[in-house]
Parts: sequence; structure tokens; C-alpha cells
Amino acid sequence: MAKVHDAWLARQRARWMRPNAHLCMRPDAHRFVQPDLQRRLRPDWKRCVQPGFEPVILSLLEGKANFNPSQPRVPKGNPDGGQWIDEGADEGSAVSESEGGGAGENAEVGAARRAPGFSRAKGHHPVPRAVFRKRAFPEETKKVFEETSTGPLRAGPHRWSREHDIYNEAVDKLLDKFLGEKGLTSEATRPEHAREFIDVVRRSRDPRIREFNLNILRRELNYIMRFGPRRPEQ
Amino acid sequence: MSADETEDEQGLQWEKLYAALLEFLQQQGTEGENRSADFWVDDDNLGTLQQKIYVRNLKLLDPVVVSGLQRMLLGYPGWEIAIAVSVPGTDELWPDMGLTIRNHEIIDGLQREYFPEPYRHYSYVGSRTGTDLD
Repeated sequence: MAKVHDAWLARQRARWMRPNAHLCMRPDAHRFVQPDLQRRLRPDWKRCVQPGFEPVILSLLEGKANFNPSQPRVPKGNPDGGQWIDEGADEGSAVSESEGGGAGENAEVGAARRAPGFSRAKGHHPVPRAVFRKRAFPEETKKVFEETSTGPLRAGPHRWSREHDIYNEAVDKLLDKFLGEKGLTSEATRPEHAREFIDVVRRSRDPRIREFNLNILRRELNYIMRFGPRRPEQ
Repeated sequence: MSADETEDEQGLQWEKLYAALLEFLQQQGTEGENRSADFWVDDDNLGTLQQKIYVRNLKLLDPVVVSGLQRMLLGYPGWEIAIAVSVPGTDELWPDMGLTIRNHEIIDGLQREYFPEPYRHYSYVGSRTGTDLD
């Protein structure tokens, strides 16, 4: 086997391999690696790899998808020392909570994601701004609607579908009906009514509402099953 | 820049662009969730570099309006505006279609054969045909 000088190799690595090369790799890259490739590698293959990048190569060879070398691990000394810490566990739970009914709206999650400059939580809002802003709800009631959201969605940007437009119209009519049944005026609608209405939206059997919320949930679950519970990279 | 800072920046830019879009489009037509309005700017910030507009009145697809929207992106590198055609009464008849406007290009997915005559001939400088997955 040819002997290659370490200094030359280091120079070639620095020249040709970006330190963040793993970001350029598609999450399912392991699918394109031959199953017995590890057996064919030269024994000193780690010398040819950017320092710190070996685990990525190993993960590919072992068929593990979605590997992120900067993902934190449990420190040594703990019973689970060395295990990966799931960075997106809390985000994933926000979605999984919704499995029982709706698109995973969680007021606490939505509120926690609000940054100082934001006037609104990220993600899908079960009661869109356009629906409640035209009514004279008290500020604290509007705040409940503003802060109840799914949190940022991983499954990517909007497409050209019009389902959200149709959803709004249905939620608007549902809100009229809800207020009518309760005998409430907009001014008299309190935060607990807002929370109750959000629950009504989540449990709605109206196909325009239910299908839209379920589609969000399906897209998120598909994304998580395919890529893992990570935030989308911008 | 940390992930949180990036997220904050995205949120601030989203709010600014959302307000600018509303201001611009309200000069062209009426806005609202009610489908009798001319358009609605989606008020959900999904955390991506995108704004979405639902157009109910095809007059808003006028090349002058679209070009104005594209100019608004000049201060927002990486951002795009998705326009979905959502004309009331066509939900079951017309397929999903729209435009994706970016700083450097417009992706044209309009299926003009469904449009009434005055709107069939809209064309956009710097556009290419494509889908919403482009």
C-alpha cells in the first residue's frame, strides 16, 4: 500500500474538504452506499478524513440516516454517557401531542417560541389572525389566539394550494356559530372562551377544517419519519 | 449567528415583509379572510423564508403588480413570495396553481387555459415555467 505523508494529506483535506461538509450531504445519503463498502476500505481510512468527520462516515457505512456530528451527547460519567441528545425532542412532542385531535397546537409551546421582537408565535394558528382581528375581542382574548400555534413547522414552505384560504372561511363561520350559541358578543368574549373555541376548531368534523389540520400533522410526521425531529435549515 | 438568533432574525424580517406586502396590496384591492375580498396574505409564519398570498381576484396577477412584489424582495435576500390562485367558485374546477416570486426569477405555474380571456395573456419578465416544488 502506498505511503502518503500525513502533512500532505492534511493540506489536501484543508484544501478540498469544507469543515461543514456534512451540511452538504443529503439526509438519506446512506441509501447510496454499498452495503459491504466498509469491508473494502483501507485500514487507515480515518487519516484521509477531515478530523471530526469520521463519525459521519461511520454512520453512513452503518446505514444510519440523518447524522449530525454537532448534535450534543450525554457527558461521560452518566449511565447514558455518549448517547446522542435529541435536540428536537421538545419540538417533536409538540406535534405528537396533537395526534388525538388536530394539528398539534400548544399554547405553551407557541408562547415559548416567541422572541422579543415578535408579535406572534410561529407556526399554524388554529384561529387565523384574519378571522379574529376583525372582531372587537378584548386584548387578552386576542392574545390567546395569537399565542396558540403549532410552533415552527419542519415540513417546508407553503405551496400553491388554497386549502388555508378555504379553512379560514370555515373557521370564520364556526366562530360566528360558536358566539351565537354562547350568546356572546365580541367584547364579552373572554380568554377561556377563546381556549374553548380553539378546542372546538381542533375537534371540528368539518372536512375543510379537519382535513387541513390533519394534512399539517401528516406532513410533519412524514418529515420527522424521514429526516428526524430537526428544525428545517434555512 | 446562533440558531436562536437566526430564528429571531427570520421573525423580524417576516413581520416587516408581511406589513409591507399588506400596505402594497391594499392599494391594489381589498384584503381579508372572507373570500369576497380580493386577496389574503397568509398570517402564519411557518419559520421559513416565505410569504404566501392567496389571490381571489385575477387582476392582482397583473404583471405590474407581480413586478412590484418582486421589487419588494430586494431588501430580503433568500426570501420568496408564493402566490396561490384561489378564486371562489373554482375550488373543484381549477387545479392548484400559482407563482413563486424570488429576487432573481419568477416561477410561473399558472394554467391560463382556465382563466377568462382578459387574464390569459399575462406574462412576466424573467419568468420560467415550473411547479411549486421548484
